[in-house]
Amino acid sequence: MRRVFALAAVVAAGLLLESTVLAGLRLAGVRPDVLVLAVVAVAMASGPTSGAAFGFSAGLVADLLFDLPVGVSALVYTAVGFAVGMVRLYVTSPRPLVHLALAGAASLASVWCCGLLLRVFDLSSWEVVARSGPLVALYNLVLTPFVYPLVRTLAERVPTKPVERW
Amino acid sequence: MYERPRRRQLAVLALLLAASIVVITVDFRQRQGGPVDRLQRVAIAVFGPLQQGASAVVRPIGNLVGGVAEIGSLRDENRRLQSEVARLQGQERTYQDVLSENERLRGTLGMAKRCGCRTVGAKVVASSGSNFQLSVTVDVGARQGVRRDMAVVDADGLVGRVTQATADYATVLLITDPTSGVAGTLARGKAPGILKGGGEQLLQFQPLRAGTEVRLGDAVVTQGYQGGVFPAGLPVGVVERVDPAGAASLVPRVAVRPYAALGALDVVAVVLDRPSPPPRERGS
Repeated sequence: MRRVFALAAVVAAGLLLESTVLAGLRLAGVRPDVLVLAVVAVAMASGPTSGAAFGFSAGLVADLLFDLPVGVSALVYTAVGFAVGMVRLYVTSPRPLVHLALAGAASLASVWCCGLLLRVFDLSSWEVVARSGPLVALYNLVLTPFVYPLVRTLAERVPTKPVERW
Repeated sequence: MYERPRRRQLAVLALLLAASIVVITVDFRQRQGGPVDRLQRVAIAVFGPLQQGASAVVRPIGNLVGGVAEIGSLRDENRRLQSEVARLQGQERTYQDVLSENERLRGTLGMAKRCGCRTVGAKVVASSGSNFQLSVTVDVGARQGVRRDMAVVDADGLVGRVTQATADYATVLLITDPTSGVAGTLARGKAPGILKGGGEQLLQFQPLRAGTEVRLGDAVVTQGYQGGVFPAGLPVGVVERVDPAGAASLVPRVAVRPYAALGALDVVAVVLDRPSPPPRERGS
């Protein structure tokens, strides 16, 4: 239960950040997406199942709050969480660059997949989709050193199963 | 080159993906009044106060850094922004802030008076965190008479329309959102057209008639019609660029800069009156 509360607090903090501070820090029309960084961090700490479940929950709440077609972010974050959880076995290097590259790639994939789905529903344009991906990924790279270690440490310290005590 | 998924992991993934697709389908089939719509209201009602509190704390920081970040893309407004940043640097939310807010409120009310509409004043408490949707949350809702599809203005012009209203908060879709469309008309010549958002700072004005003459600096205002959302005559923006009609298009491509300060909204007014709906046909 502690884990649920801790991760719910991460989602709430991420959404508040995105809708207040970061909403006022648009660069070239885009804002960073800290939720996808949180999804990557949780998936790296806890594996594909936890990554997908966290991605689904975070995406669903974001969709509800931001008045997007509900389910789009949930779908994309679920896939991102699962994929990152699957490849974490091969990301053994402690070098920050490797983790930065992973966060950047996940951000790019997330924005492009979201944009593609919204384009299918005629809720965005190809131009916006193409432009947003790299810009959000770059923006997220700047925030990764702050968000990623914090959320990953939290997810690792609050384990999935309670510790047995004697 | 990845960890081999176990059956349970794949089952969880399939379940979550299926749940997402079901939610998307339900949302599209029952956009208004459905279970997803109700959940959305709950989410806004829960997060609204949190956003309001967080916004009050971080707004001065956000305004300051946001102002600095946008200087590159707003060269023509460089001087004005720098003085604004300098002003913000020295201020917290004190007497001066209250005075300027009062001024903006008066301006907003003045805008509402221009269309002779009843309005309710509101403060912007949060912006959308999505990169694919441009909206803001305001601190008025159904309790103050705010309903879906009401127009929202600031002291300078049209801001957008209400897309979701809970008891105390409402979501406003900005006119620059890619899904936004506003019936507009050129103040000079009364040529009708559609103003569409493109997700950027400028709107696209598409004249409805071929041969429409559009000049730089022309003002664009809303066009009212029965059953529409926006009252007639609300200022929307000014023509900033005109690409003349050619082989690709019979009408000119017109870029309009909104009058409203959509990047730094603070005080707005929701227009409670809407153009009356079209009369029902007898027998329908």
